[in-house]
Amino acid sequence: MLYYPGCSLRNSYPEFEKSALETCTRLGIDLAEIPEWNCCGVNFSLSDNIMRHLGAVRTLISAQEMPDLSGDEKVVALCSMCYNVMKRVNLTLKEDAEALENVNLFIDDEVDYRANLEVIHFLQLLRDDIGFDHLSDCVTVPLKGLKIAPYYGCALIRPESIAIDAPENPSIMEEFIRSVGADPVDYPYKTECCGNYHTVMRKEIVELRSKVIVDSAKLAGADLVVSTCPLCTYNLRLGVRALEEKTPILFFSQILALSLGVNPHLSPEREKNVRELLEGMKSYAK
Amino acid sequence: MVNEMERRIGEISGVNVDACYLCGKCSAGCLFTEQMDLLPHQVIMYIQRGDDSVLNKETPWICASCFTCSVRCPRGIDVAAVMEGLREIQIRKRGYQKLDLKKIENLEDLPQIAVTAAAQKLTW
Ligand code: SF4
Ligand code: SF4
Repeated sequence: MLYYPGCSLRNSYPEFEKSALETCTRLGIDLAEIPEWNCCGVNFSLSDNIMRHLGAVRTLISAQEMPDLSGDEKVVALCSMCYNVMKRVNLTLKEDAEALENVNLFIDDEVDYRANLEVIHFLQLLRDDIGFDHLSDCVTVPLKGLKIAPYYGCALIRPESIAIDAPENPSIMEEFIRSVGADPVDYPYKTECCGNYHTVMRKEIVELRSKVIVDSAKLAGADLVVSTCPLCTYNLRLGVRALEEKTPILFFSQILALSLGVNPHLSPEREKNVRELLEGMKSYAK
Repeated sequence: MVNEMERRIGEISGVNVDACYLCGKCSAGCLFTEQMDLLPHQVIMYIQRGDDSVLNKETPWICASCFTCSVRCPRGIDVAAVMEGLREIQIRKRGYQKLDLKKIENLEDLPQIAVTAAAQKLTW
């Protein structure tokens, strides 16, 4: 499988990528990083202008030209915003022959993109290629008794054309949480927006939204919240700051790493909190 | 007959605003209405009426592109794309701007995608 890391994993949250890649080694998933990848663009342009996505197209071309490919390879993304944009760009090029011709004419210093690749999210890889049943067989440290609230946000499930699961009531993260031995927590805000880029210029909007989301998860009994997106994670942590009880917000790959007994790369300020939670669970399980 | 506002929004976003029957479902599910000066379905209504004062409203700039309205609309209207169309008209009129990094609190902490996303949405 071809792997697209994206900027925020490299520059802001290395724990997301490192924990994910170490679990891949454990699960026997072979990921080959696309050479010379670009920023995905973060937002898909809603104004019908594929020319805004030349960076993403160049990345897809670079993936397509990697040696020894069978021709219909999958590109895996970990960050849900990367997934969303790469998937939408790829889908547009698959469905719109004119758009594909235009970008290929424009990018005349590269070979044509043939639109044969598939873009998937890492959770889909776990569900469809590894299988959650098989994953739970691989778990060596089941996170028994740990109550985890899945936070989907927007990018994995909207719009419908690129959704990895049912947009109004997805369950892929719950299935994932069960497969690592923990209990998924049901709460009403799992698919509601955290405020997205308003965190840059209008932080108050994000604080308001995030506080509601984390508070609701907490009320439903969550020990921690898992996310698939660096921006959601940043925003939810802003919300946590406004709450009395500190709920850890982790990347889903860190939970996976914990359950497989590989390094979850917890940052120092979260390490203690999460270890305490896990210790608590062990005594509970006894 | 489509009016000028409908035509421009259709051209930029590919959305046929005329198909909206103003049921208000988009506004009912939008999480950001508290900060808006016009509800999402009202934005559509202004466009249907050809009222270009909608261009000076805050709502399109508050919309976070969460697509909740777009997946729920019974008429298949991509309301998020309409909001982007309105931003786009304004941006084209006033020219492309830069995000003033000096005005950003927590610039050091922010994940890179936050700044990139804001720069695109607000200044594209
Ligand atoms: S949900 Fe759709 S049809 Fe109903 S008011 Fe909104 S845009 Fe119009
Ligand atoms: S896309 Fe914009 S208008 Fe629609 S629900 Fe989200 S914030 Fe509201």
